[in-house]
Amino acid sequence: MPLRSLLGPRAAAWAIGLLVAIGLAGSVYRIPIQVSDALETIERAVNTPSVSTSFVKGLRNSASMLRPLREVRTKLLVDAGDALGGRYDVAFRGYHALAGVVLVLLFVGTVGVSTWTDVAALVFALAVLTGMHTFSGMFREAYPTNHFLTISTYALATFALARSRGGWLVDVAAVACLVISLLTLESGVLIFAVAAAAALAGARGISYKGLGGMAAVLAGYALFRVGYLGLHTAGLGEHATGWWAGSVDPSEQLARFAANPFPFYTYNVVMSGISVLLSQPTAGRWTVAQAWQEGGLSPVFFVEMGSSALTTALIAWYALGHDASGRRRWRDPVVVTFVTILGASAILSWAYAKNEIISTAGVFYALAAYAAARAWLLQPPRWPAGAAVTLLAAVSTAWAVRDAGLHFKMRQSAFDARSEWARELKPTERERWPADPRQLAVVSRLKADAIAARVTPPVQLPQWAESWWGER
Amino acid sequence: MKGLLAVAAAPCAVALVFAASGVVALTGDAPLVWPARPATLSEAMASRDQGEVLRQVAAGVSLDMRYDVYGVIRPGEHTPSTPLEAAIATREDYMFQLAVAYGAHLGPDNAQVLFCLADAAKATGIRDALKEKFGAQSCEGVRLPW
Repeated sequence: MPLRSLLGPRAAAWAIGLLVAIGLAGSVYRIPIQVSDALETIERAVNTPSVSTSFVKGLRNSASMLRPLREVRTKLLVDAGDALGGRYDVAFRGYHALAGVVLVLLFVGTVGVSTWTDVAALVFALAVLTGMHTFSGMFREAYPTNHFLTISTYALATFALARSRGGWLVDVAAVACLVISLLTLESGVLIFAVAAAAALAGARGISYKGLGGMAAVLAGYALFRVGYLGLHTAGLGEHATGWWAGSVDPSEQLARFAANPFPFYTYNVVMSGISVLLSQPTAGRWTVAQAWQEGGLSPVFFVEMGSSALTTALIAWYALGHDASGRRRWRDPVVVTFVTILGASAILSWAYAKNEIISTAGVFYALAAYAAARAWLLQPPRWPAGAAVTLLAAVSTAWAVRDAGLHFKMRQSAFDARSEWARELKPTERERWPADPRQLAVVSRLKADAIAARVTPPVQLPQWAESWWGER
Repeated sequence: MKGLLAVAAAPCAVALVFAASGVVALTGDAPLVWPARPATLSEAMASRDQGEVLRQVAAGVSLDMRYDVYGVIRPGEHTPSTPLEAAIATREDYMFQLAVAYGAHLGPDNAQVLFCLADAAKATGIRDALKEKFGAQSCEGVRLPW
């Protein structure tokens, strides 16, 4: 390979992507396997004889969820842990860290860098991607794998397929992405939304035949889920959620909205969409209003809301402008797909708001930020010398601050996950230990590995960091 | 080119720092950024660090000895404590129960000091549990550890 290409923009883009991915992997890998929403699934997988049995069991182990591939992934990782001599932590946490690497590198590959201006825009977009409040939800928890991360990865892969040169293999891959996603999480429907939106905007990588195949899969899924399995979806009074500056628990939801739930659903949808654009409300709750009322607006609100508002304005500026050929940019596949996924993710939040549900929209927000930053650098507005680039540099720095906060939050998640294990297999509560010897052996090993992991307690983290990166 | 560097500088710096930290974390025992510092068993207890408490107990550290606690119970001060005393400083019942569950000695010989410490520290849940088990204790003339 000639030296020139090794020192060129493409190589630089991959190198920067790799740096971001390694940093992410390092922090993710050190979070122990969590107990809540994870241990039960692992215990189920331990004594399941085969992957196919896991799949079949996964079809019917809930009245509202159809997630057999969650069971299959868990079974495969338990088997991998066995093959590694009982190192389940290596299997599960290694998988999570690797999945993060794949998402970041897929992002780099999807934007397609060719100049130094592209590299600068990519660096900005990677900071937006990893600094988004919706991104941390894909890495701070795993149940025992993070299915929101799976959906975001397949959504990004589908977008890359839509922008490819096409061919029958691309169609097959797009249908496979949809099938895998639908059987992982209900948000898998977003994969079809990505393919349809990209096609609508002129990206022809996935052919009409491929789109037809995806539509058939989606219809079959709906029939199977509702018609055959009779599963219902989440509704009013099943999860606590934010409501203006406070929150409403399930019983309060039923008391206030059972007669007419429409305002409640509308609130959840609208606020979930706004959350991606402004970093508030968080999970439906305007925590900034609460902090304002209590007289304690910490820097985290200014950094998060300021960087998001300016980046959203940048994307709006891009979408409302024209490209070099005079074509309106809102027709750009990146913009159309981002707006579609934003809307679709918001609609999926109708019953309750949660940062993780809108995580795929956060990924496409970063893609749109790339396109907008690139255009801003190539043809900045006619402001006084350097002002436009200085403003973008300031926004980029704010996102870098948020990016560092992701690692801070993951230290806290590691502490929480490790602490959860103190409640398991207590010597004074032997009657609550798993009766099955194999399950007991696996849980004992999981606990031993989680406890052996050295994590930083919050008391050792810098005090000032809480006001810049803490929970809000 | 200067403009491009200005846009990329801060995110690249953050990426570099955490990549270096990540490599060390993946290949070694702790990340470069915000690594866990060594703590005594009582410091871990006073910090509500249940995982660290269990790690040290599993490694054979005694739950009945007195260890130094620096800056956790009182900012900038050394307050040597047993793990049970440190648990009282957190005012959290679950921390106290954790120490007992994993073998910390709790008997008539140390109940009075612990009761009085819990009373002074306003750890009402722990104080009431001790009262239920050992009866009300007189705190007159009892010397508290901190």
